[in-house]
Amino acid sequence: MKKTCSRYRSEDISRFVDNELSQARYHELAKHLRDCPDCRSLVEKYKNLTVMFNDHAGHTGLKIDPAALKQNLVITTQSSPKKILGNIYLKLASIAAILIISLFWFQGGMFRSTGPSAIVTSVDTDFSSVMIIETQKKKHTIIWFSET
Amino acid sequence: MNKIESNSDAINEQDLVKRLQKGQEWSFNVLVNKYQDRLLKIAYGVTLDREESLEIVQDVFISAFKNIKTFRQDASLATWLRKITINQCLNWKRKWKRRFKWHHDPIESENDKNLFKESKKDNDPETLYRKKQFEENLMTAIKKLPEKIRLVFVLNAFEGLSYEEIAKTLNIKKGTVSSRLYSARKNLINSLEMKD
Repeated sequence: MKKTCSRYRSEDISRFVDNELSQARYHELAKHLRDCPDCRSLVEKYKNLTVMFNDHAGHTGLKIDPAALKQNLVITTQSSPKKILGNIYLKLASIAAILIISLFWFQGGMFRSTGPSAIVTSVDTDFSSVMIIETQKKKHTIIWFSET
Repeated sequence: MNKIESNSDAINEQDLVKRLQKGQEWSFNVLVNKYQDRLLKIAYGVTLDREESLEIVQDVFISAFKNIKTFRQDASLATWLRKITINQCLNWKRKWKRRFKWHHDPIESENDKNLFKESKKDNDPETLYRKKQFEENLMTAIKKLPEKIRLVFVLNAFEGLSYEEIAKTLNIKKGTVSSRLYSARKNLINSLEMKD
């Protein structure tokens, strides 16, 4: 980058172009530009970079059709409830699995054999039935009553 | 832009946001038509790829429409959309960096002398040809800029943001914005003058 003027740094010129110098410094540099072709040329170069880049990017011919994009939007929003439902089913299945495991855990069903070991005694009448059952290991008594 | 125009824009924007939040379909057309040009420019400036920038901005609009209820209007709609676009562009870059090493195909120029100087005869074939060559060389030089520097340059050149606004958008210091912009200009001019 050819710049022979040593009064202002190129970075100051860059900030001048962006109007980011203090007001006093800005006016000082603006005054200097009238007499300094080097700095003036650099200002022009910096400004031209922006103009050319802007011009190029503004002529890419890119265009989005809102109607076509809306179709995409409809498709994605239509597919999303399935996804949400899928998630709900997954959550429900997880909760159910946790509940079943917990139930087994509290009842000791995971580690012990389920069901009675033997029917100790049973009484059947015309109106009801009573059955006394004993569990296998801990010998807990279960009384089962049924009205007929 | 004067104050009255600015206020009326803000009112229109508030109205547009309300309608988008209500899910009114035509408001989506308004959103796309109003902001697509500036967002496409930003996306193109960062990616330097036409197809990708088109896809990115389409995703930005879909994402904005879906998440409009989360838009709290602390900043303007344009600022919000710009932020989404930048994030999408950076994600795109990261995605592609993983797949390929970023490369460029230099376009050789025969004569770029005095192209910084504006010609009064803008329409003559020679000037047009040189302008085209200069533009191609500029884009080649822009491709060579590191992503961080290019992003600052894009926001300055296309959006006309102040150093403070760029700093806020990218979460960097104001001094960093200044040095990155200077670095962008210095590198671009060096690259272009090397071709003289």
